Amino acid sequence: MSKPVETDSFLGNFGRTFITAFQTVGAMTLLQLRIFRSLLAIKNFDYDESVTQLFKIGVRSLPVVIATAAFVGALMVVASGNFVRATGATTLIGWAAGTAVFSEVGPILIGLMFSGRVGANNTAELGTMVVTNQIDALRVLGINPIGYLIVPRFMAMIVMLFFLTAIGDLFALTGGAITCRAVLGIDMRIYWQGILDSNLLSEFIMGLVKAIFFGGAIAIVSCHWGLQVTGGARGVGRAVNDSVVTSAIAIFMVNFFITVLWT
Amino acid sequence: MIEYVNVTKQFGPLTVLDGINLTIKDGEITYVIGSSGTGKSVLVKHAVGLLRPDAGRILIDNIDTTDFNERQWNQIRMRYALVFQHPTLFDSMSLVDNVALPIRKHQKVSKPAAKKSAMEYLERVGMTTKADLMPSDVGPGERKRVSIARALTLSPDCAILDEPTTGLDVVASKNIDEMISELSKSLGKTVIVVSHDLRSIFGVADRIVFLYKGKIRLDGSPSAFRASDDPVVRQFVSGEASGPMET
Repeated sequence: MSKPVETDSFLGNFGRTFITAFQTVGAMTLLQLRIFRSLLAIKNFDYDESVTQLFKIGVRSLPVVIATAAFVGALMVVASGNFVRATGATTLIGWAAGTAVFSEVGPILIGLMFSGRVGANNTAELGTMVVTNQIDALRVLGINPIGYLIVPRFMAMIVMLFFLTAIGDLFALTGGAITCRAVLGIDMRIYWQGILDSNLLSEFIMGLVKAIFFGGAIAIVSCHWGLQVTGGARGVGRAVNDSVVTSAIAIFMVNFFITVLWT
Repeated sequence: MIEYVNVTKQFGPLTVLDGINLTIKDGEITYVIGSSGTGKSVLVKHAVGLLRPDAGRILIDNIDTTDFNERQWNQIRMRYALVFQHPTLFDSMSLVDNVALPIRKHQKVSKPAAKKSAMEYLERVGMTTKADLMPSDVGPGERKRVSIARALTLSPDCAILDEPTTGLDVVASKNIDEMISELSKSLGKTVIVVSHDLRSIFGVADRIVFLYKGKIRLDGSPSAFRASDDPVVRQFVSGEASGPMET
């Protein structure tokens, strides 16, 4: 007779982690389906809550995104600076910075900042509502929590991360231009002309498409962990942690698949 | 009318409700009482679908709701309004916005119209002067009153109040008792109250259901409750620390 696997063995822990991961993905998929179903019931759309979320998620994230983007652009210029100086190919500096900012580093870093600020906040807020029975209070008032709370957040995160990434791209390039002049001593006009000549429209659009999917992924992940909270304040803290980690993994996975499919 | 037919509910190894058979009639004020942890809140949460029985059936107005989905329960919840033990106001909204939310969502009116209507409900519970404050700015008694006002916006046939006077001072408790009486006597609503408060129970109740160890120990009028010679009931009424009652 085969010996049962001990639950605290390596294999037991591995199996448990595997099952938990699948349960989490399954629960997130179900949440996504419930969101799409609520989206179809357009008569239940809550305009006030949506406007509140658009403001809270978008407008308040702007300073963080601008600061992140400006330094990302600056970093890209500094990183490619050595190569440009060594070869004397100064016209390539705009292409190098623009490509990296538009297609990869810009959307990813803005997405990570967004998940840290908005996603974590969203998980904490929903989690607190769960442990203080505010979600059940909505249910007993005959209000569907998915339609009222989750759908506006889902839509706001997608819309706002899209616009924040577009604005972030602009500030990243500006940060790069300033660094180009201040650190590398290359004329800003060469930098800007390099970007324009490189025809980076495809990279720019790919970055925005990524932002849409990142926004959706962060919304699903942060709402899922917020609604799953049990165990009071400690549970909320744990959920926020899980939310940030899972969002980061989701961002890198989504980024990989879009990049592969796009190119 | 709410009927519990042989309802059993377990949480892990603990049997909280053990084959409960109970019918709540329309228009009555029914008090569900018992010591802490006997399943009073669990019992009333079954009536609005927040919990589902492990065994048995829940019938509301002769319709079996046991296998209802969330959408079907939402229709029931419009007529059977539950106010939680701890006031569950939405902490990101002012008091008036809390009360206006169900009006706005269900009556499909504009925000100003919903607020105007909400003020009328707040007036009923004497909270108009604090309408624009946030829930954290008022005391627990006031939050409870606003919670009740919010539940009444649904114009329910039945109000289910979970420990509405617990933690309140005597005057605030008296106000809640009067509101419960008014709901039943003037407006003809069915009221179910979960309570420990003997003063309220004997002053307001039409009927008392005493839960003990997951079963109904006594179901009768306040006078029958007072006259009971059951030692467990006697100890609950007298409030003595020693006796046959297991807590």
